[in-house]
Amino acid sequence: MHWDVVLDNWQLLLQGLWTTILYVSASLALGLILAIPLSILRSSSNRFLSWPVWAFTYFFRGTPLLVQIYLIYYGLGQFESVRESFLWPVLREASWCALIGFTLNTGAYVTEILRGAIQATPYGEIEAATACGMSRAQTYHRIIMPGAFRRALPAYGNEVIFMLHGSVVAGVITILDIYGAAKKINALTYTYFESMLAAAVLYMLIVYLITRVFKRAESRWHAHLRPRTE
Amino acid sequence: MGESTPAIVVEDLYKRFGALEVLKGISLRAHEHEVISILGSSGSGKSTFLRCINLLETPESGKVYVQGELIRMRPKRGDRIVPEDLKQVERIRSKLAMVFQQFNLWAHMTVMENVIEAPLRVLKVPKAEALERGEQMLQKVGMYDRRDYYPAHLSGGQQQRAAIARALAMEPQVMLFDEPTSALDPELVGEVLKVMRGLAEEGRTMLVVTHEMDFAREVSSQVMFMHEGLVEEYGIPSEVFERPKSERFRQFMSGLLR
Repeated sequence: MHWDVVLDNWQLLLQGLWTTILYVSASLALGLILAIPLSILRSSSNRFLSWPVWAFTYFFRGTPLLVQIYLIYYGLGQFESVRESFLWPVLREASWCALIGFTLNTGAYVTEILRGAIQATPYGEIEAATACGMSRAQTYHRIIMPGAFRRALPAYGNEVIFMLHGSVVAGVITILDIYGAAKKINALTYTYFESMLAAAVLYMLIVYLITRVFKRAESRWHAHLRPRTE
Repeated sequence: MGESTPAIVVEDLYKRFGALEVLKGISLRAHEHEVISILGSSGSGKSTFLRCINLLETPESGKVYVQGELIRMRPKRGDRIVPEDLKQVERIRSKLAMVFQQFNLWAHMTVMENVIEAPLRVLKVPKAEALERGEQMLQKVGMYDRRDYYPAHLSGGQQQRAAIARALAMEPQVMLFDEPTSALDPELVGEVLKVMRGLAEEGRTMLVVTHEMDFAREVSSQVMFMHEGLVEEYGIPSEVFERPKSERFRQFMSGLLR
């Protein structure tokens, strides 16, 4: 065992940790912003609104993230029209491709999580809002979405962890995230076990923090679901 | 003093669910300070009728006036009608508070948050004023000490009293009660009826769909009995209960006494 290679390359791993956190949090934030309007459209009874969103989520949930990133990063560059378009400065960069792919992927999952939570709104709550004169927009803003977010919280916590683990794909397309850093250390020293275990520990550390955050979030936002304590 | 504008006028309301005709021409006139109890066996259309007044259900035809203002409807695709102006409907709904059989409190909000929500968002009342009004209403229904509870932590009777406070906080012109005690355990019915009696004594205009015969007999100014989508009996309680003209109402009463 050569644990010294891990210690010698701590700066590389720290940089990888930071990169992973950056990509995952940015794509989670953008994906959530994307998912809010899409989940509302997806739960619409109008098929012209819900169908395109269904197709989007079906593609991104129906295919592996690795394949999606390869399609965006390597696949699109194959077309001359893309290489000559204004999008090329973005699409030729691994970093942008990873961010776009991650955002669309988590956006699709969160859309479906939120759709389920929206559709689980007790109909009586919507009727009560309607009956006191709230508009459709107010009802979404004040009644449906706040309830849906709370119901979606446990499933969303899982999605955050899945997204973290999915983010190793960034390391596959040359980005120096945690996995990328471990891969590089291994390439320099041929210590697969030590370098991957170091990566594993860092991922576990982040997951620990994520579960802590969600535990606190649930204790705050699930107060209305807890059994009565007096 | 001349005849004031009735709080609610309903003219010739028809409603169908598919092939089933639920309302076959119902009219009603409710003056201010009147309490009208609407009775009938299940399937008689009484809840549907109430829900057509604030357009939770859209009737096939008929007119609803609230304080003399007609809710404007326009025809759509053959024999259906839809509101012409949703803003008008929302404004009128804000004057007609509704209390539901299943309470329908907003689960993620505390009692006080439930009570101030619509005054803040719909009536645009300033927060301090909404809170003050909310406190008064919660005191009135005896729920002030539970103002920070979530609905799931309350009994059915407490939830229904909170829902009544939520309705009162809108300072409504008319209150619509849709079987407010039907989902309650028998021992909790009394506390809700007591609050409703208090509101009637204050002179509030109320339309109450109910199975509570004592309430209908003692509190209401008019009783309306519906059967298969038609009004079978209408009048002041003493007349209706002592000398019913309709055979169906007699059967309904004896069915209850059985």
